[in-house]
Amino acid sequence: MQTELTNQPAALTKAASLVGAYQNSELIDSNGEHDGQHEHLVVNDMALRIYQTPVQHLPEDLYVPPQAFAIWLEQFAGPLDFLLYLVKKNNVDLTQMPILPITEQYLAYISELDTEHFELAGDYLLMASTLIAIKTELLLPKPETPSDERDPKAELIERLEEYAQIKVASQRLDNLVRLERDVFLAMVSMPSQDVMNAELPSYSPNLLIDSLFKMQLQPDYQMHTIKVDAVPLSDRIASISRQLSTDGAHSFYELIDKTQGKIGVVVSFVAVLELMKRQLVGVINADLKGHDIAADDEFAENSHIGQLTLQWLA
Amino acid sequence: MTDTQQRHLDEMSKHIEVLLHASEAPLTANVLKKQLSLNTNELARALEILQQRLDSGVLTLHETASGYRLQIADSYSPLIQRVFPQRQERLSQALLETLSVIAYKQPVTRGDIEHVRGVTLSSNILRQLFDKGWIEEKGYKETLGRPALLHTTPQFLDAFGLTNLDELPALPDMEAIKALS
Repeated sequence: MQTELTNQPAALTKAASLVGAYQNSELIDSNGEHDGQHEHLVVNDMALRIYQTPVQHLPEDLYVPPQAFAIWLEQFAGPLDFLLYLVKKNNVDLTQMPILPITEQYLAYISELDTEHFELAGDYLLMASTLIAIKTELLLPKPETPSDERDPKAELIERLEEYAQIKVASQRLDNLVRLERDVFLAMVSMPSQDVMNAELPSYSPNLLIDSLFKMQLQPDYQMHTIKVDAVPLSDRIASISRQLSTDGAHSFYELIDKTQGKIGVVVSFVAVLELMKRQLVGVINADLKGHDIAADDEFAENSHIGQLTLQWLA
Repeated sequence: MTDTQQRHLDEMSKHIEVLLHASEAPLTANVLKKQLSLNTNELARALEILQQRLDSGVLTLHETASGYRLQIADSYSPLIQRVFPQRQERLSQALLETLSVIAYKQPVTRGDIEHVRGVTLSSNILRQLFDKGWIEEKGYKETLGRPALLHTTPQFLDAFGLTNLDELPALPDMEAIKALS
């Protein structure tokens, strides 16, 4: 421990004083800058305590881990907050902010920042570069022609003021009477689903058995659909054409495919009509006269159809 | 007022109480008037009767931005705070600052918040605010990238006991800010 301290004495003492400084403003101002003002931004009762005993001076051999500075920075809401703290520490008016000393102090603190904590450092480094830019501008002679650009220092002060305003506003917002912190809703809730279910009319388990019996006693009706083979017209036309062109002539009766049923007869007839329309088929004789057809005489009906003889023309 | 009217208003005040108990969110005057067929005058009188009846108990009728709700009388807050300390949520400074920027300067973009606070906005903070229902995205700023505009919601007003944004505590004036530093 002692060796570690002597190895990097400067960094550690600084970090130690930083940790103490934020918690007890007395320590910060050890170099005679004590302003005697009441701390506004820092909560006063955060003074360093060990077992309820306030600690005025840090022990000299106190080991401060390298992350201490990062932890210390987390106390601030960001670089603007940190800058406000520095301005206040220097006991100067915000509008009269002396850029040179503030920049140097800011950079001195930031240089302590552990390189392992760059994710925390980004915003702080951005502010450091802004401060350096403003400082550079102040050191350089002013150009003859007035520039259109805004004075970066005035801009920074404006941002600081705006931030300080929001910071105070956020404290006032926090002081408002807040629901579930200061006031509480009367939480009368609707009965839970279990209670609601218990209120539902109850059914006897016998209902289930009854329905099971009924299900088994009932005959097993199943829906049958009889599939009728489709008789496409084009197939019929092709088939009839084939038969007629090969054999020259056929009776209509011969052209019917009996397996196709009634629909087959109808489609065959339409097919013949279509072929006649295309003038590929002609009717040889259609002697429809002088036949006595008994209603129940199937043969007579068939022979009647047989009268219609078709001939291939093409 | 006849006895019949008085009895009707008494009954209506009970109906209002039932609806407020059963509702998860505050109920507006319009909802109450419509559901209970009351005119403005009758509603006011029924609410008055309800408040009188509640006075003898531990509840109180409270009007918020999004309507009426029942809450536990303020005098009992210390008891709840003592017994259920986990119910009191402390808000971080970063969250409060972010919320303040949105509340006082709305509508704002994420970039505006970062500019005022000088810190990269952590998505965690915004998510917390969205989860609480205190902020919402409404519209876009017509600028590069069309960033979404953030507003506070009526729930935000409810949570902070405000009926409208004008009731927010006044922003400290710049002279006070300068003197502070």
